[in-house]
Amino acid sequence: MIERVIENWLDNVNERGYETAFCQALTAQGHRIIRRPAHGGTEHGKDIVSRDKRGTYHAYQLKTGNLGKSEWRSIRDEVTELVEVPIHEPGVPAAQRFTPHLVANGRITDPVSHEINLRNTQWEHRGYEPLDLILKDDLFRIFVDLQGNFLPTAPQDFETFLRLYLAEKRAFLDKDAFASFLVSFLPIGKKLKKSDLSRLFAGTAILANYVLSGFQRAGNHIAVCEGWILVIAHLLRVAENAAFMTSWRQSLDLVIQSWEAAAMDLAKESTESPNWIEGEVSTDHFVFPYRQVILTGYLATVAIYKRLTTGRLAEEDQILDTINRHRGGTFWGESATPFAFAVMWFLLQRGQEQRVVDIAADLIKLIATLNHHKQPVGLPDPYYDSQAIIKQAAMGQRIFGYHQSFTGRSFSIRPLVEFLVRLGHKRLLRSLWYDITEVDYVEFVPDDSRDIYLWRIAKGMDVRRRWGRPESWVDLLERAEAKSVPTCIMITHYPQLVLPFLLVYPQRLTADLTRFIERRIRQQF
Amino acid sequence: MLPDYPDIKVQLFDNLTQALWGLVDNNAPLAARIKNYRQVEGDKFSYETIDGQLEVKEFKQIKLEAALPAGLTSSETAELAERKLSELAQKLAQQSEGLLFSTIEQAAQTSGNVVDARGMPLDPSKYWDQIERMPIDFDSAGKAELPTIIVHPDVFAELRRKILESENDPKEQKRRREVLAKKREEWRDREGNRKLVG
Repeated sequence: MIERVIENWLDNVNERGYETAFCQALTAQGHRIIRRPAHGGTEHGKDIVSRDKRGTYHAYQLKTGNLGKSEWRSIRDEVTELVEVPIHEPGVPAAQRFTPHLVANGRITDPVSHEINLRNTQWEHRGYEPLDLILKDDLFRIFVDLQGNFLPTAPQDFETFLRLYLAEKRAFLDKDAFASFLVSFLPIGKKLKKSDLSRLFAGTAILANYVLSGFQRAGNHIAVCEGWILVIAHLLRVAENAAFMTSWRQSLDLVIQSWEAAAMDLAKESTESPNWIEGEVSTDHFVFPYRQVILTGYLATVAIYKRLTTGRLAEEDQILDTINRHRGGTFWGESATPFAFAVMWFLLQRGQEQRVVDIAADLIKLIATLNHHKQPVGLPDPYYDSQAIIKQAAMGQRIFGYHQSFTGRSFSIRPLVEFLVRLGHKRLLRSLWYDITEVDYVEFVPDDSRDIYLWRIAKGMDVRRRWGRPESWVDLLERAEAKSVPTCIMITHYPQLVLPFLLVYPQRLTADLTRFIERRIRQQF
Repeated sequence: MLPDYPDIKVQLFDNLTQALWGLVDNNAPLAARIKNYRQVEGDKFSYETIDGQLEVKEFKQIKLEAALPAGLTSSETAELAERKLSELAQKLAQQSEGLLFSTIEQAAQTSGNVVDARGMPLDPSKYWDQIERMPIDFDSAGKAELPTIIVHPDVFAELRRKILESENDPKEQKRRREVLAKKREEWRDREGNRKLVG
């Protein structure tokens, strides 16, 4: 059954959609990826450059669909460049011989095949390697063989997979379903052999690619970003039990690059869109203020991510202008807090401290007011996303349980208070303090800190604490500046991913993680 | 299979569940006044007491089963479902209030807030002894937010009579004023401590 899904996927995907999966397949075969489109466009007809286990170099050009005479004519010059122009990449010796491959998820007509054979003869005479063709049937075999024994086989898992694969591509990704699908086949918490890890990581990324490429084709960048972060997080959970980092690191890096590409696409579209209105216009005003929070948060995250990795983004000023133009939005609940933090951190580094302080103080006031114990329901906790709140607010759907309340407690209040403490706003906090003490601070602490990557954690404790009565500024400052951070691979090896992770996993936002991100940002800006 | 309406039934079942909780509320008026917090993850929770102690608790299960036999007519099934729902509500109410009382009792034992009347009839003066032991809040109008008294229905009439009598008893009223004044001072101290110092 899965074979038919893969075949269907290959029939419908474009080259951008199968590029990640193809790179993952190469990685699983022992290739080291030297270049891919995420590194910046095609160069001399080469989308992907790799080096295999034997040290042979390969260059690939990726195309969509069948190659008939007219399609071939339109790409012939590019293919000639692919074959004839040497690889020009750092670390690759000049004039290094390589095997050129033309990859397409369609079939090839006989006249084109015949012409390629003739050209191959000529190329060989002239000292070039002949062009190798990797077509739909080859891709199909590569993907099916790679996934081997961990494809979803249980009917329920397969049903989840199909539901995700066939989901409405303009909507948000069903994160609950996607996470439970990943958990259904990943050997979480188990020791794995080094030889299995590379295949497992690559195979997982390919399965995820089947689901996410539809969203990618629809230009639904948020869904793609969220999907890749879920994949990264679950793979990191597997990696926590595996000591052999070298065996999976490249595969994970490819997934991270896919997230980066989607996030950059989102940033580009957001900065270029004149009004941030999307889809059916007549009802858009109901959802617009929620979209504002998400987009400003993502824009700030992309700018920060780039500062933490490759350096200042050329479009950073444009991002700042866009965020400044889109003030406001609906703070629908505590799952919006990471988006607010992203904006605050970015604006702070761009010299808008007073605005940042105002935002943080307003959020604290809002939480203290709405979560006052005499309120009936309060501000929804981070387990309720914007869609759930819109369903309730605009459509009257019952989202909360009977007598369910969020009052008297908050997951966000401590990180927000400590943020203002670090900025030294003692007088402001003093003025807010009476109301702050109305709301206890809460944090979910997993029994095993390595479980933070999981969407839902079975073993752990909801820890609720009261503010000191009275609370000492010195103690507060000491806590706000504490050095403790959870020890996990994301923190030690991928600190730039913590903020993107929190946008998707708002339930993991803690005082420790916000402090950690803030410190990293301060070091890099 | 015969034609069915699964999506609609999911919504109807949700409505039925709401109705069930409404019935549980009617049967457990004390528990009905308590808000629910839904913990999505984990297997335990903790909270800090007024004394600053961190209490760690695990979940306790409330579980009931109800079955509707196949083979009945539609109207018989509906009638039986309604009856079962009412029974379930009563049992759930018993379990939830039972759990509530055992939790309160345990907390009271731990904090030493237990007054043993040693079989003596309930006396309003004992009430003020109890109030004296616990923190009492006051509303914005300065009115004490006194706790709910739970007594057996047989005791209620007698207690009510005694309370009315005590309202005309200068000695009892003096005691009441003294306790409330003390509690107001304590509350002011507590409220005054809700500040950032240093």
